[in-house]
Amino acid sequence: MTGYIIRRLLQFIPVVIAATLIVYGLVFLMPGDPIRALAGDRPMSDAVRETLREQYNLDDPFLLQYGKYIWGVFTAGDFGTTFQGRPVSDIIQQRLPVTLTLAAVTFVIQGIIGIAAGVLSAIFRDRFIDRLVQVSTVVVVALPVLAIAFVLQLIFGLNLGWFPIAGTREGLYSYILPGFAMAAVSTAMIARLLRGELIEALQSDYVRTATAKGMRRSRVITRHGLRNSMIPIVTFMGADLASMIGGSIVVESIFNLPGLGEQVYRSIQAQEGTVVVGIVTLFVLAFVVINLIVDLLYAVLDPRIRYD
Amino acid sequence: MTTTTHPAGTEQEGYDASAPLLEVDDLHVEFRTKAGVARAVNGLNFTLNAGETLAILGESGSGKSVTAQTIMGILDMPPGHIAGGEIRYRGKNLFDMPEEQRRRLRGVNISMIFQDALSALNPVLPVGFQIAEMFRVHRGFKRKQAREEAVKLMQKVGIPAAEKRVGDYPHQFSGGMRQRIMIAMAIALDPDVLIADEPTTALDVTVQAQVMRLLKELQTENNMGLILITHDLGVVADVADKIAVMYAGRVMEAADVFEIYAKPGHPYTKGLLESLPRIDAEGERLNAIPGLPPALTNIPPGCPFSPRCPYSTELCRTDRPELLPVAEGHVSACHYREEIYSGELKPREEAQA
Repeated sequence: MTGYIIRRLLQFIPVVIAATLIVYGLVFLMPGDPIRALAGDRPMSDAVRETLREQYNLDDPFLLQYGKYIWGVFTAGDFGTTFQGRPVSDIIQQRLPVTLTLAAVTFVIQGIIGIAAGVLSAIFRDRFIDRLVQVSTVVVVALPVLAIAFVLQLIFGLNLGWFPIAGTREGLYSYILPGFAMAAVSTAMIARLLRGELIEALQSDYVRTATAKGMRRSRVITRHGLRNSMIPIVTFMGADLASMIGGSIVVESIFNLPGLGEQVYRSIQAQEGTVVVGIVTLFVLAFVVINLIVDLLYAVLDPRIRYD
Repeated sequence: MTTTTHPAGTEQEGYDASAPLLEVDDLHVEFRTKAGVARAVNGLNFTLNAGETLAILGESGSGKSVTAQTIMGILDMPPGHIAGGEIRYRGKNLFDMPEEQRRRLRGVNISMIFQDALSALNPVLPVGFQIAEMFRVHRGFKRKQAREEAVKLMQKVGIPAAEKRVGDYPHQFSGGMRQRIMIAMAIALDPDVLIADEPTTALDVTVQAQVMRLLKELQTENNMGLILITHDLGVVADVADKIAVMYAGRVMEAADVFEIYAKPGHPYTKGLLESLPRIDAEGERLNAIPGLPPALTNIPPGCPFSPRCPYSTELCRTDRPELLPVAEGHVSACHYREEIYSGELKPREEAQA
């Protein structure tokens, strides 16, 4: 087990290098001169420009630039500085809580609603509740997040006025609407996935055994049926959570949440490579770590899986 | 084992101590599917007394397993449907009971062992948990106490190092050991009736004998009524007291074990016995019964066995024979049971074709 974890951790290195290299390369390839973009309309003397180019290693060859950057990340936790002289790690620190809160709210929403809908759908198979879940999930899955976010904002934010439509001023309450927007598609996927898994589990021999043992229906469903059907759900929710750590560009922008996703969007527009790469590096790390945790959890849920 | 306690209120709930342990009375079970109604059990009758082993013998599709599932109340309904009859446990009809009362019988008074222990045990729960669950749910034991009982049961059914293995999962055991765990689970609460649905079919021959011996021992010890469902005539001969031979959802013949082997009173039983490999007939072809059992959606009007029967006549094709006695404690559903029993009747040429 320990050997497995160490091996998995070592695998991080090439993954992180490859991911950051690609992002760094993409930013490098972006057309336009970042220093000129920084200066905007105002004239800038050649001397100032030279100093800035020097400071941000912009005249070095690509690989050297990248090497200097990644060296800083891993030796000093230095994700670079913005053109305004602010450390990127500062920005991450400031914006990460927003993204993490949104991820947590989303995770809880899709966990509760997705699992509940899946279980109800499976238990009342082919009955009204099941049909309702089946139809509504198809609709939700088919809609783009953009549309869902705007519709929620319009109905529950503007028309009904139940939730704030932008910003984080009302604390956790402000995250509910964006949380639902972000959770919608995954919730539908979880419900559909779990329905199928649970229906299969409830027809299995071991569930029949549990019934023959005189267990109550509720215990048969939760202890014996659900316990087995949750294995793929955990995998799905883990991967989904990992992708949420990077922040959602769409949802954070629509609800004006100052999270990492919104920052990435802005930095791309401003051609601030260091910020983009910094956030993406963090995102890759989170993704790999969460996936490792999911894999380890998998072995806990399914004792037939052993890592050695 | 701790002292045997029967579920609270057994007497108050209308059980009759003088009634037979389990009676199946004119049971009809059908499956209503889009392709039509499959009549799996068609007027089944048998009685099981305490301490008795009844073997239900029959080929695939004869309704053996459906009968077992109907007794346990674990038949999938729909598509399954109980079309008639009664199953009485200590004189009380199971079908009249509220579901909660039936649930409290399951695993406590009537319990069941399945054919394939690997799929019948929950793959993600430790075996100890699955055995202990019986005590926790039905007896309200605490976790630790229930676990101790589970270890005792595992020792009782002959699992080596039970103390160490109580936390292991089903896939970590061999086939024979898994079936022992199933048995431990089924006998945990000292049931009166144990239904074993092909308990040894999935096992090696050597292990089969061990498992059957264990079942027999436990039965004698607890004076259980054992229903042994099988298609294996060899298994039956060793352990059964009575045999009921099923065909197309009906009992064709029932008698005690020696009687049926010595003097079968039904052509089907006779055919089954003749199809067994014999040590003194080396090199000869086995006498298989020609043809296949009828489709359950389309059972012939007369005797269901008549299309395959070497003795059948016009009467067999039109009139269904009732289950009637041929000798003391020996019944057969054949128009010519007397002649078959005495061995007078010879196969008819035309039926052989």
